[in-house]
Amino acid sequence: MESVQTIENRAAFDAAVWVDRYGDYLYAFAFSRLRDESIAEDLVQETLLAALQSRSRYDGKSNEKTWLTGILKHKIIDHFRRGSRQVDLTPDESDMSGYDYLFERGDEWSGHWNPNLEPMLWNSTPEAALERSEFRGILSHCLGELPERAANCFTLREMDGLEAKEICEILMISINNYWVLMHRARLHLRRCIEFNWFRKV
Amino acid sequence: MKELLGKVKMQFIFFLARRLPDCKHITPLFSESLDRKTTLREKIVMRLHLFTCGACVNYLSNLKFMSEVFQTQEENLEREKLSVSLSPEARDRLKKALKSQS
Repeated sequence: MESVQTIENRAAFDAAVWVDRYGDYLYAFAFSRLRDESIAEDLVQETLLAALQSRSRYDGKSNEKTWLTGILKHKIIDHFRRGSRQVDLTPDESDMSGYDYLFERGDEWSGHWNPNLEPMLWNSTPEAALERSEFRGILSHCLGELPERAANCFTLREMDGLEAKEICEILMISINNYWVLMHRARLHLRRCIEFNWFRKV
Repeated sequence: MKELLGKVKMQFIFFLARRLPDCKHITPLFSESLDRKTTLREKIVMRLHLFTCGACVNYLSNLKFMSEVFQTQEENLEREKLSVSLSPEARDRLKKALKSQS
């Protein structure tokens, strides 16, 4: 029989090992979705605490990192849920008139791209672009410029690969609001990435 | 002859472009097409618009590029290519919090 003391010591040991082994990974995972250092750190802490408590239920089948990431994913979604209220989109989220300038032009073709702001051909690959730390910085800067819910909606879709329906349920938004937020996010991110990266390099 | 064909093609493109939703109104549909199945009618409208508009061809390909970027970033993260990490202070805070709870 192991004494309670030994078991407790081992738990403390495991937890410290987790921080060393998976801390950076879990933190980077949370940060990419929340864009806030202290919330990311809090959720990593919540995750490891929950893992300590449910350690006996961990079956050892999946590897430890996968198991911990699974818990973190739930914590992140819980965090989004906590922040969700059933409120309609604010003007800041739904008003697209801030993007009208992209489609304004002096001729009879108004509504089509302004020739100076037309989307360019991006002559690169995702792998090559991501090698550059400035590019990664631009991605997170551009995401940060979006209204909170639009950014969350976009990351749940593009990073976590959730379906529109699940995202609506987490963020408590209607499907129509989902389309508005995603269109807004994509229009903005595309413009922001092009302007800050592809028009400069 | 070649010149004439070119002119006819341009006229046809203008003809189409005037009857189709403009870029401002078709871009939301491009976004939706990445997240749901589009109807046959929507598919045809998008195809025709893309036929008349090189800028929108770029737009749609940029959106796909962005999807891939975020997916690739996830794969990089999976392979421990991390762009942010815990500060030593944060690491200590975590260990302390865990110790007090265990």
